[in-house]
Amino acid sequence: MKNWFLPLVLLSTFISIPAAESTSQPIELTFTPGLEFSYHSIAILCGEQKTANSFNLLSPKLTLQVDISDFITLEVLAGYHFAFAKDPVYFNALPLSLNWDRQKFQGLLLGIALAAEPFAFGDFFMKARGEFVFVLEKDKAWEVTLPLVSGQATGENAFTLITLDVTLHFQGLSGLTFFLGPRLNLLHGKFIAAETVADLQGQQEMSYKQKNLIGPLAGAVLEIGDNWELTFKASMLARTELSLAVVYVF
Amino acid sequence: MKTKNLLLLGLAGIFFFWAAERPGNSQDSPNKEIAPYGVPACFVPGQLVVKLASDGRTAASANEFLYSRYRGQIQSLRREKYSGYLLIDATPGTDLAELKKSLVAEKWVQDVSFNYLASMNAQIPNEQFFSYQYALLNNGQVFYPEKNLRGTMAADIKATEGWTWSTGSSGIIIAIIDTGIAVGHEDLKNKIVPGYDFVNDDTDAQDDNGHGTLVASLAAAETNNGIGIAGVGWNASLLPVKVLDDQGNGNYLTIAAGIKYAADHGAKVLNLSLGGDNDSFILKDACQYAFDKGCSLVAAAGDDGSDAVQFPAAYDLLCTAVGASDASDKLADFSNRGPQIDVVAPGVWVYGAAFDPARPTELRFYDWGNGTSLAAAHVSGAIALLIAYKPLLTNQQIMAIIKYTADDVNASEKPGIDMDMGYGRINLQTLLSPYNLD
Repeated sequence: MKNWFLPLVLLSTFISIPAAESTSQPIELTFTPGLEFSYHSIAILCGEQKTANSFNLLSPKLTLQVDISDFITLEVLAGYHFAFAKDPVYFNALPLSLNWDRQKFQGLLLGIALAAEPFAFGDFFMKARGEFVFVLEKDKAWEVTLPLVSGQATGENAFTLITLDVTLHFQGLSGLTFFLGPRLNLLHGKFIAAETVADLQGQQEMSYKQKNLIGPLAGAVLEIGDNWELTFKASMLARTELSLAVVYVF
Repeated sequence: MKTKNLLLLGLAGIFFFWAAERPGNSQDSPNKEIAPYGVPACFVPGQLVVKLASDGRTAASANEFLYSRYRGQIQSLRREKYSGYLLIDATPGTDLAELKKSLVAEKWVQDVSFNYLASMNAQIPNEQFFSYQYALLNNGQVFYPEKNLRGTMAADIKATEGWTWSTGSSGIIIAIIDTGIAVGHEDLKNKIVPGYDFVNDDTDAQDDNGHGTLVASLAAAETNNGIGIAGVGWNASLLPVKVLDDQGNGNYLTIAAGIKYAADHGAKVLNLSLGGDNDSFILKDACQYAFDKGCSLVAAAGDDGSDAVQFPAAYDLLCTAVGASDASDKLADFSNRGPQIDVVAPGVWVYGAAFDPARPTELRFYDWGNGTSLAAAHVSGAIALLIAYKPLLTNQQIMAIIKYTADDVNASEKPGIDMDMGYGRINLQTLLSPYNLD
């Protein structure tokens, strides 16, 4: 984690500040750097048997919002993530069955989001936000040792996550905005296990997707001083999703 | 500003990992968190078990104290008679994790635990004579009372552990290419599909010797039916193919015809508890035919105690050659040895369904037997379980898996692959259960 994450954070911190200065350029773009931590625990159905499991995703990421009009914001996300399935995942179609028990995968997480605020009335406004993230994970490898032969197993986890939020925001309180609405989650991924044990070889892919599409989303945005905003979001989609975001507004 | 950024990063990180640990990851989480989606709860709902500190309160005074201090949270409380621990039934709606935390903090409490659930990690059938079947589960019991023969703990094929992963399928047919099968035997009659008698050239593959019946029962007797014995293949079906006469003799042409018949009639596993000393294209071509059709061939090594594995077991690329071990995981003295030996399985004083030609109407007969024939039957049953569990495996892969998952039980004398036991005694637990990656 240290190898990837800290340089990324520092690099982004340095890069984002000069970028923010470009707000004074003739092109009226506003850049807002931020930092977001999110935790997802999503109920999934796994493999052909649609085995119930829980997909856990932890991801600290850097964000850069670009206001491309008064109503539309584009956001670029880059960070790191840790992912694992809570319950054991069995690969029984391999010559020698394998069991991943909370195997943690990690790697880069990249994404893009688009947000729009089409309506406002009094202290309320509507916001729609769509986010797409994908990951570049490191493969894992393990030694497999049987009584008289040995070999190697490898594992991969690849997924994409799309979230669509439609929220009603209330900004009647000074420095504090609440929001509420539905969240739609589309998780598509696959666990891939392969093995080579003596002359035995095999590979098995197990796709997974979210169990429930839609759940409630609620949160709040707290303005801290002139430049900082703290956003907290919580969603219940059979399991829990939490995120905490900090942005610096120029 | 960079410092502030990093400070906020740290604060947010603390929140983040706190959040990550919340949903059911802690051992102390209430059972509704641990057991979502219909998975059975991992402890008895509403129960806590309290271990009192040795120098603290007595159970009686603890009772009074707990009732008064935790009024409303404890529905009932009693001293469990076997362990001496206090067993608390919490009032419905009580946050059990919080109550546990509070109790742990009491000075006179040494520890508090949920009353966790457990289950047997083995599938033990209810057969009448299962305790005689040391081959399947050896707890060191007396398995042959008349001779007072006792086994050695764990010198078995780990069938009960393997059955937790697969009890096979009736769609997987094991061909018993032998003396026929007593088709009316109480422990076999529901497992048999129509076969053929190549000795008399008719469709009645009734046993007239007894050998085939014993072999068939070990491979796939009706299991968990409360009578007789358990077959390794549990739900597998049996195809009787009679190629040996009432004396247990036959010729390569007849055997070859039986092998081809079995391969053409849906058998996935061909049990060949027979053999001859001579190599011939007759037998080899038939084995090759069946192998090319995807069948797994299991053959007995022979019972001469010699250094020559019999044919067809000696066809190394086509057959899994099986030697015999005893109730202590030692090589049977009669088991043939040679480089073609792949694995061993129990074949000494093995109990199974029997048939006595002199008493053909006795269909509740069981007896002990010896031989690599019986060892081969155990392996055939194991392969039937494997095929049912992993239908896409090739017969080449199956041959390899059976070997690689065997226990090197003679490692102290002959470590590694050897001509006595090959890779070792088969192990259904390793064969069928997943390998846990650390």
